[in-house]
Amino acid sequence: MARPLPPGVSQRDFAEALRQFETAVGKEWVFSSDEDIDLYRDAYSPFWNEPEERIPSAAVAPDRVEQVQQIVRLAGKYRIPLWTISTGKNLGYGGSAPNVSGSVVLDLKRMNRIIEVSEKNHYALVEPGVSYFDLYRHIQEKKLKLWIDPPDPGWGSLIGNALERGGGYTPMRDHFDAHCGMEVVLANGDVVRTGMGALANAKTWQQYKYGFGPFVDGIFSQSNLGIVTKMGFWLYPEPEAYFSGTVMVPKHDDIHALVENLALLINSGIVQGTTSVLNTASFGPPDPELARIRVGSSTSDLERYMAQKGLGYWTVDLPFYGPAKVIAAQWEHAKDKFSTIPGVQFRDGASYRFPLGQAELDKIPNPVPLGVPSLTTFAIGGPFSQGHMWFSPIIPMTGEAVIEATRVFEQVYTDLGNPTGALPGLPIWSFFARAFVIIYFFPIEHDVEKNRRSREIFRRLVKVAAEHGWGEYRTHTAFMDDIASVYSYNNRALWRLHETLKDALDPNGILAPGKNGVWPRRLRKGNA
Amino acid sequence: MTSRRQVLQIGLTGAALLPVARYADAWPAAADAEAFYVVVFDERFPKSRHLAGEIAGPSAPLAAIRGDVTALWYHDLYFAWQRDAAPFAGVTSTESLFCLELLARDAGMRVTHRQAVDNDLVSWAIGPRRARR
Repeated sequence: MARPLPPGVSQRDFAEALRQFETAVGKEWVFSSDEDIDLYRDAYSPFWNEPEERIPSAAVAPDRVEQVQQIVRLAGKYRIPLWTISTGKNLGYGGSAPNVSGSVVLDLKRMNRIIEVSEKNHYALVEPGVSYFDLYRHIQEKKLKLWIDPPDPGWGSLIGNALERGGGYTPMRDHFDAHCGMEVVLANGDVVRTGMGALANAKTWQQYKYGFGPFVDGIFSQSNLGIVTKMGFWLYPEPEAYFSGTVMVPKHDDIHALVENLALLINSGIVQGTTSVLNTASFGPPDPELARIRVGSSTSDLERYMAQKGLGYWTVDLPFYGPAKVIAAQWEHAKDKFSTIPGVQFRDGASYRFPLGQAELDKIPNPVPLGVPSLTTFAIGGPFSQGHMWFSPIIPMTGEAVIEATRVFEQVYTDLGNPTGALPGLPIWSFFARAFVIIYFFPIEHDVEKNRRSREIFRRLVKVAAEHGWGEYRTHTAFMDDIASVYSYNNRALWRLHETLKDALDPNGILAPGKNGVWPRRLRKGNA
Repeated sequence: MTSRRQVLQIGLTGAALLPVARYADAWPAAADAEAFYVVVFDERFPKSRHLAGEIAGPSAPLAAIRGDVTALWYHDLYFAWQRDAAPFAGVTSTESLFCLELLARDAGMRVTHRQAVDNDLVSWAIGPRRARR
């Protein structure tokens, strides 16, 4: 595949920019051979082998913040767009590949220092190349009584995942919310520290988020306004125990009371980890009889069948973390709340006391909710494909929204057909406070026609969701403009604000053009 | 000593859907079994164990996984790669190879051989990309 030049940049200027990058970081850390650049392709690109697939022109891997500053200044001089990655594992959302072909990937993997871990105040300060595995290994080796909160899978960067507003499973599950303090290189090469980090010799950079004055951290998440080179994270003190309890309710319409009580428990802080609401009738183990009943039978037929099986129509797993006595009381309290639903069943699930030995950990099929990073998600199986991406709308934490969203999205699949094997509906998650997120799986094939159909369904889902007041929290680079376009209140006022900030902070438009639908002036529609 | 090419041809007699000569030819002749730090197999698939054993011969150790490569990488390969970019090989699912390929990239290694065995399995070798790290 031919490697493109950055848009509007001559071959001569590009070559000169690479030469100066080499001076800044060392020749061995500028990558421009086909073999090297191939490694930055998005393995899960929905444009695989199509002209629209986004291909970088080169990559540069600095080792420290001063080199990042030099690269940014050089990129500004030559107007080279930079696409920043941390560990490059943002699979399903674009991987390492840029949003604009010809961009130079700014690969921060080498900046992998764990600068500080405080066991007494439960935080860490890390660089972008530090993965969840790296920090976990550090904590284990030092025998610190601390937990991290890894997502599925655990090889990504803490900073990268938090900046993309990813989620995990423990009480620190909202990864951006769990951050405290950033160091950011701006497009002009200036270095900013946010929050208390703005104090010279700061003593509480990782303990108090807001500092003094406007709180700007948010503008650097899902953003192209700066390059985050350090970030602090609050960690979870190793709990005494973990327990998982299951709640099953028998009727379709029980979803309303189920979610109302779940929201009360979450918003009260009784349930602090990620939960999921599962339609057991749709997503249980393979059952030919159930599959037969699902086609053309009534809801009451399904309810009867699930009752015969001793299963609920809806299921919620509640994770509890903390002192064992407190957990026992929380579970009793939760059962009291759900007991208002006729026919509700409760089951005790996994129960652990910490610390666990390696032999005990090895027996746990999925250790991620226990703060242990893993790649087991790749071994779970599922529809065969060369990759995947996600459609992930945020919906209200209500039973009505669960029913309506499921109905509306399934109708899109019915209307457009489902030739790709995409799954119409999966468990509904509480990765974030106060709202649900539905994660729809889209397979990516090395098949142009199947991918075209997947993109068609995806774009239709985005529009239909917006018509119902639901928007995605995160997306693949291929759909960033689509999703930005539906956040359109008051003539795109929010995106006009983003563009104002972009023009002020990055007038040459070198930082990740088009990321999350925010384009620099020179590449905006009508100007490109 | 039996060469890698011979070993693979023996191993393929009951295994590969592809012509034997083509499968064997795809393996780099220079990659002798003793050069492999480890040969990985997936114990869920008997054919994986069989072929991995053939590739390893008497000189390279075998390492078992069950789809998930986390423990193998976290407890073993991670430390091996700290010492040097030792080549390794395997017969696994594509998902397991995908994980190992991306992990190996971060250690300056790349897939040097990749060949479908059947719908479930792929045989592969990973070795140094270039002398960068």
